[in-house]
Amino acid sequence: MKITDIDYYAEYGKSRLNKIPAGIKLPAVFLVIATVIFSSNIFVLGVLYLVLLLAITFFSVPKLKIIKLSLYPLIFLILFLISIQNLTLTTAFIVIFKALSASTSLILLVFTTNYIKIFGILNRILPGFMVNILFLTYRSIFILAKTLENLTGMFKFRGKPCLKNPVLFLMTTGNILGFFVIKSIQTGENLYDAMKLRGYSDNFSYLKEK
Amino acid sequence: MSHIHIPDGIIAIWLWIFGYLIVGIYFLAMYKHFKTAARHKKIAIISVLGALMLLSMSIPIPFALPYHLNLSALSGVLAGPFYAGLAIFCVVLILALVGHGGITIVGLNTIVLTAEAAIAFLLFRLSRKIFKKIFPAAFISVFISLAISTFLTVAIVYAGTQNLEYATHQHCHKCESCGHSHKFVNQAGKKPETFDIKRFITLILITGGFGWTLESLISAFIISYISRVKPDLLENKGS
Repeated sequence: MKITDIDYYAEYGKSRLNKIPAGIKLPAVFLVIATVIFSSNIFVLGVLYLVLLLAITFFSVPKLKIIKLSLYPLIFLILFLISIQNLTLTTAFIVIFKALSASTSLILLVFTTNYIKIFGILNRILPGFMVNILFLTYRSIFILAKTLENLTGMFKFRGKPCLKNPVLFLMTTGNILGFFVIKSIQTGENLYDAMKLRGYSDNFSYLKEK
Repeated sequence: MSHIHIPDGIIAIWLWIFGYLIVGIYFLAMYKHFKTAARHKKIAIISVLGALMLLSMSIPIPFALPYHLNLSALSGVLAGPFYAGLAIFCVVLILALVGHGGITIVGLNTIVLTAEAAIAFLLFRLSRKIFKKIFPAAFISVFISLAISTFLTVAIVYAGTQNLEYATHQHCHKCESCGHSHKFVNQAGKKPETFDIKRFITLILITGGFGWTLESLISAFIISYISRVKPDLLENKGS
């Protein structure tokens, strides 16, 4: 799942969750995370996950995309669970519910909340320069995504080396990514020059306003 | 594999708070650095490096597990560990928001990946003096940094899950009442559940070994390409 796709749903989503202010959604997510951290009751955690699933079902959000993305932590959780000796089903379900509740709540938040609103709230917790970097990183994803798309398109059209020749495949991938790195750094420098010309003074005032 | 994918609610509270404290101290140092050195142009370059890491992670690599590149070591080589740490924090935070690693683990993940970037940076500078060609220097420095950071991850997971009772809270109440301290015993009164570090390391080595090699090879090809096209990018002294 690409971040650019998530951003599209957060910006243009029509669900009621999109209309709820970030000031309400963020404390709700905080409550879910606090429950995940402090509660070890299988029923509490099970009900919490069920409530989140119901929210996904009843609100018009991209259901399958959210559920698919929220299952990602399970892959690595399996490695962790295999490493526990004498593991019981209860423990396994407690850990799984914890992982799924936390990931689903956060994914629901990013799918229904504009990033400027999230970063605006983070601006109260993190130092200013860090929020600037976070904001610019997010913006840069969209600028660089286009370059990467062009590069991968070119890679395909020019006949990318097949996996039967792994060294050539890795070398070509490395060269393309190397070009991408150089291009990205040049883009970063141009971005800063453009920002300076437009009066950037080491902070984004509209993040504070939100 | 070199960063912690364990979700929220499993690692002990003291450990992830410690992680955030270390990151807080690092932010304070960087805040002072930016104020005195006035290197605001670096902010744009750090941001682009962060975006680059995030986009590279979105390139799927065919493997048994959904493996992705990390490029923290590469960002350490390019920007130096102090600046790379800021990009790494942004990447880890954005990934946590999309359910990739817990939000409470952001501090610990930042420490692990910044350590990886720092080791890669130092080893690359050292190995360039030893090897005549840039490819082996880059490969070895990235490979060692990935291996060390993976073991750092294992150590953190081990330290944070020593008391599994914290995460699952199933203990023998009878024993508590009589004042004895027992090891974590599950509800059925069977054998205690314990985190098997050897099994975990074996699993990590099986999955991580492939990842280290692949990432080191791609990073080495990237660094070789940069050295041919724009060598000044590799002349970073880390300040």
